[in-house]
Amino acid sequence: MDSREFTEHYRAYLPAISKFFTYRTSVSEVEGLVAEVFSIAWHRRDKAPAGNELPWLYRIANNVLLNHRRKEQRRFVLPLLETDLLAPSAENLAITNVTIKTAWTKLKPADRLVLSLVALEDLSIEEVSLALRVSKNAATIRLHRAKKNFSEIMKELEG
Amino acid sequence: MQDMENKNLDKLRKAVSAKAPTLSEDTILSGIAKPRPSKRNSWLVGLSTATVAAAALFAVFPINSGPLFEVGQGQGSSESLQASADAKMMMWIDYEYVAGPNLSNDGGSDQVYRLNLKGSPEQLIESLATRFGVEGELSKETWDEGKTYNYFFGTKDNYEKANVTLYWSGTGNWYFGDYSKYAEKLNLPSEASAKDTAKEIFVATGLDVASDAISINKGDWGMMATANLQVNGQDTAVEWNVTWAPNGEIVSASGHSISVEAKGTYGTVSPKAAVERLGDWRYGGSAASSYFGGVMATMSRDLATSNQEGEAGSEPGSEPTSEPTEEPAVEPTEEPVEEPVEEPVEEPTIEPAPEKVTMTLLSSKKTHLLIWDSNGGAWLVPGYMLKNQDGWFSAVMSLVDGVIALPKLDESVMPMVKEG
Repeated sequence: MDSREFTEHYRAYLPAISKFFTYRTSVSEVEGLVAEVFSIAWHRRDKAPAGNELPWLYRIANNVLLNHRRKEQRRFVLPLLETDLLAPSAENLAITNVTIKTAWTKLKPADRLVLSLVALEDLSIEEVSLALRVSKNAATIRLHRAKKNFSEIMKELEG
Repeated sequence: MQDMENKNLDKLRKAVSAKAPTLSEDTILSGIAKPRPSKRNSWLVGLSTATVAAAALFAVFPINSGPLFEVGQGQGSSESLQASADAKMMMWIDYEYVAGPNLSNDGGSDQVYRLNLKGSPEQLIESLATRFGVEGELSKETWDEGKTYNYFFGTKDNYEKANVTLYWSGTGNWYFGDYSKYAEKLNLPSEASAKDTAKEIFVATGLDVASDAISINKGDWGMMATANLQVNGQDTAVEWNVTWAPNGEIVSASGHSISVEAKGTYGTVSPKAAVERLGDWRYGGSAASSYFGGVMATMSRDLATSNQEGEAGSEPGSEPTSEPTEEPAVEPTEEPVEEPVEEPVEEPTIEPAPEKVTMTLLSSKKTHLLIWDSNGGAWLVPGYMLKNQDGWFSAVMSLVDGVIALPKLDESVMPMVKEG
């Protein structure tokens, strides 16, 4: 696959990867991080799983974001779980509804991570499992738990 | 129940207003044009000990031989500035820092330390895996063009099993996690027993620490033992810790693989002079978490004051504590019968002005702050913890100007604003 073919094949995923970083970083950083994802994808294109390019790109995007965050937060010496670094914050999502914003901030990062992939980025369970490198069963359990927790918090907030 | 859960997800979708920028194919082409990653050639081999004795008798180095190192962009990068500016935007408070009458005018001198990566990453992660009983195999990845490597020991494709990760840069930060053992049935060890266990782990992984220097925190979430690398008898931001689940199982541990190298004694400014640096993010550094109530160390006074104001902490992983003050009036019903509508976004009609707050710094304490150079190396440099009138601390470097090179100020950096 040459660079022209690569670009033609992968440009369909540009909006999704752009959205991924928009939900997790500042707008000014999105373009550089997206370019980083496609740089890695280009250099590893022979390892791309045919038919599952999008979750593969999400996996690369996760790692690019992790490294970006670790560089930002090397000043914070306590190690953070990956979910803490990857889950979008209410500020990044620019949530306009006060109740939902509050519920989102009360959720555990692991719940926020899986909910964002399914609800905001429209990934299927299989794609979530590939993106997070967990079994499909584990992804299903995580999603079930996250939806339940989110609903319980919403119920509490809405009285 | 599932209907309700799905409806709540719909509400979430509709409430998210962040829009991704429209990027062209040029973004992909610029990625393709980036060179293939190159590997770093060698690593520094550290000294033999991880604790540091007092080092007050070094000659003070002149600074005419050029800066000792260049402070990294990550230390006070545009992102940090943006975050800081954003925090101010959110708080809409303009702080003026004033030195109290008891702050000293006396400068002095103190030691600078370089933290060197110690040992072989492969041997380290394998020994940690053995120690914590982790099964699997070793792998490594680079995601930043070979500048740094992440090592992983565990079962690939099943990251919920016990594993060890190691970030081989800076302080060689490692992390063990095994939440498969987590259970809520309460069976925590005694504090004395926890300290003994923690001490054994800390010493074995390079931190020579006494039991009484290990702090214990516990709650219904479990128990955590923490100890810090000390310099001149004082804690630094470099921490080791062990966490127990409520059932008494160790579910995580972390530490570093470093040796400490004294790089010489350099001049320091007075506490009073350091107050003037509080408005400049480049003089920030990480202090021991004990200054901040045992929570994660914060590096800038902006974040410290943010916490003090009761605002949502900017540290990753921290949960905002503030409750919403303007709850929309919604009649509670058993089941929502109407589709939720987006909350209207109020347009400001009057240009708001920042609230000016004078922050008086009343006392100071000498310490060493963790900062990062432009190559990702970690350093401990002299600094002060300045205590303000509300009892909160701000960390600021005290090295005289010229000892280390600071990043250039970019006045053009503006606060982050989400764009549609």
